[in-house]
Amino acid sequence: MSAWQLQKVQVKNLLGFQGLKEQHFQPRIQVIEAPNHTGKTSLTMALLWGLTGIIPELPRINRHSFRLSNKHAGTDAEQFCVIELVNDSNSRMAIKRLYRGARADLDAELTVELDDKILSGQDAQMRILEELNVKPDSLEGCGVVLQDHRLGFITGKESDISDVISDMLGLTVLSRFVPTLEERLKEVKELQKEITNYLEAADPLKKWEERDQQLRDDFLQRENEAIEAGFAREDLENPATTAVRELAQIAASLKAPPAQPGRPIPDEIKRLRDHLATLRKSSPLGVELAELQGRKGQLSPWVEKAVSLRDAYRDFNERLAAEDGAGELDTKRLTDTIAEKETALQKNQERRDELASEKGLLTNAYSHMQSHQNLRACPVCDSPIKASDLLKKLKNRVEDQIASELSRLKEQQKTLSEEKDGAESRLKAVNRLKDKHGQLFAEISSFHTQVQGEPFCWKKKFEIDSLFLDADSRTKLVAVLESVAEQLNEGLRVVTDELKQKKAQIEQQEAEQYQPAEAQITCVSEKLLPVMDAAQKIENHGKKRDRAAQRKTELEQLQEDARTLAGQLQKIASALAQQEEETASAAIRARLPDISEFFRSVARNPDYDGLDIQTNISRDRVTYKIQATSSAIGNLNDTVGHVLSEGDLSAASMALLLGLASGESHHLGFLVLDDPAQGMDETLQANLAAAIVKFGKPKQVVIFTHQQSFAEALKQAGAHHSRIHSWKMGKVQDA
Amino acid sequence: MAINWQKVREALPKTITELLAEIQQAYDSGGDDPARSVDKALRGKISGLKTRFETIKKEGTK
Repeated sequence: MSAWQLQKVQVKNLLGFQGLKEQHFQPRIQVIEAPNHTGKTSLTMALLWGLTGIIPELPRINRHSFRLSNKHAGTDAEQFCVIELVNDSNSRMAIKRLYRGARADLDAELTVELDDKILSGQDAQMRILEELNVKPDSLEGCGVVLQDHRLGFITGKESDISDVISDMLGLTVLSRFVPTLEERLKEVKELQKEITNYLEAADPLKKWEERDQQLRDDFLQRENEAIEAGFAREDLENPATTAVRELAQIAASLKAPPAQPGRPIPDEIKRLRDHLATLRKSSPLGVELAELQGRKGQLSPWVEKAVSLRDAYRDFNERLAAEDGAGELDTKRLTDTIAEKETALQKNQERRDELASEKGLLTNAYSHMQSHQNLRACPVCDSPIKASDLLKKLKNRVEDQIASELSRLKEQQKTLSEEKDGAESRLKAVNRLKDKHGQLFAEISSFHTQVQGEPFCWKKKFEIDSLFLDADSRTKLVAVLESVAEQLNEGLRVVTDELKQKKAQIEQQEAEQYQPAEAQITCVSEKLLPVMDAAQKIENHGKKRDRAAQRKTELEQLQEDARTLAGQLQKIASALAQQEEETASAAIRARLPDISEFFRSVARNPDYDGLDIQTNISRDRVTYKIQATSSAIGNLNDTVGHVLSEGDLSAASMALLLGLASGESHHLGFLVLDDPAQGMDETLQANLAAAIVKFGKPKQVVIFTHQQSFAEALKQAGAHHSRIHSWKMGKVQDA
Repeated sequence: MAINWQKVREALPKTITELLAEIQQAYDSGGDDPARSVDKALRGKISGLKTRFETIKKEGTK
């Protein structure tokens, strides 16, 4: 592959450049002298971004606030970087990145013109990588080296140094491959741990054994219970056979049909229980007992009812007898009496009205006559009249006769009213008694209907109204009720005695015939069946054992497979790391003389005149340790950062950079360095200038520096020299 | 720098040959990103183990 060299870069409105900045490059060694604030860092950053599309991770760059745009150019201004390159075959390539975003990185439109081809997007980026052999995520690998990185890779973190050196030695593939294996190794180990934990926590066979033990304990307990219930141990060796035999004996004793062969034992138990229930029901003693129980159930409430009615009617009769003595009970007579009194009261009133009228008339006549006391004859018939006699007669009639009769009538009215009220009050009381009697009689009639046909039922008929008025009839009814209650009591006593006898007979039958059979059935059901169930469970569980054992074997195999895979990955990772370390070590040994010579010729340190890179493998990672060495004192090997001055560190970094990156793995045709002589005095600057020119790899080296003395030294050593020295409001101008 | 598989193989016990061959095959067919190709192959292999594990665990819950 032919090496490309930088020919020109154009930067417009990016970083420190407002407007267009164009920089041409010379084919060999070129120094561009640029004092501070003249944009050399902007130019090198623009070159980096143009080639890789990436802005490097630097401590001094805040990724959140960083903007690629020039802050004076305005957001609508065109912003781009164009890099033109040429190779040994005179092919030309132009890389153009048009910045279009507010953020840095790859937010740009990329086009690549290569001879007559134009590529864009991802294809264009891939072609750049292919042509330049640059690595987008390796800054040193792209040929543009910033100050920070140049020093950083010899004094930075061990991992950073390792990454940079691996890259420069062309071992990136290996150094990145091992971590991939390690990631997967970690995953396998986690799986392995998970399997182990699972096996420990939920060992399938252990789980099976625990359950098996439970079932065996359960079986033993049930077996002991069966033995306690009377079964011989040898009977329990085959509990099903024993159960069939026992049930057959029970069937024979109950004269039940023999069991069907192969019938499940629980079904046979149910059949025998049903048969036993049928026997109990159909037994003559059972039938008689049921009848007696029925009769007792019938008589008991009748006895209660008869006694209750007898007592109630007897009490009522006593009350009625007392009432009979206190007054009339016949409601008809009472009603007639009330009517008579009303008629008499009416007549009394009429007579009192007549007398009142007469009294008024006579009083008027008396008054009138008093004014005519001289009258001697009647003015109508002319009969002789003696006024004083008439006045006397009138006064006698009104004051004696009428007044006397009215007084007698008033007395009579009072008596009649009292008699009428008394009769009405009595009628009400008698009616209440009749109602109560009616209710009692209705209950007695209802009871009579219920017991109709029974031997103790009375034949005599009672009429409710006669009973109410006739004390003899009521006494007869009381006597009938007493007789019925006595007969019922006697009947109940007889039935209760018979029932007792019948129960005793049945108990005897139960004890002799049915209970032994039932006890045998229960024994089979509750003692033998559980033994059979427990045995069956053990048998079923036993089948699971094979599966559990198989699962355990599978888990152990899986555990072994994971362990094997982990072990193999570990060994492969170690072997690859070993190969990387050996390769790195060999490459470093081949380049170390040039590196040391470069360092020695630049630094000319009296104590440390060489450099060494120690390789080591730590956790399958190749690590590098850069040391300063002394040819005079063999064992004087110290870490560069500890013993070298800033100028010497710059010299060491340049020696390592040029020495390592100039190997076979790198095909860069150019190298851009930003202030490589930083920290060096003029002597070291002159030494570095001479060394760079003498080293001659790569062919094109572009050096930006703000140090005039270093620029002069390079110029003296044969480098092409140019200068940037004007900066105004973000606009850089060439001299 | 290309990996010297022969040298790696020689540094390993013969029992690892099969896995190494698988890794090499994935690596060789990985184009621009061989590490990713190997990673994918190994993930597939580990996934097979995980599936077996899950199957056994599931069987254990029945």
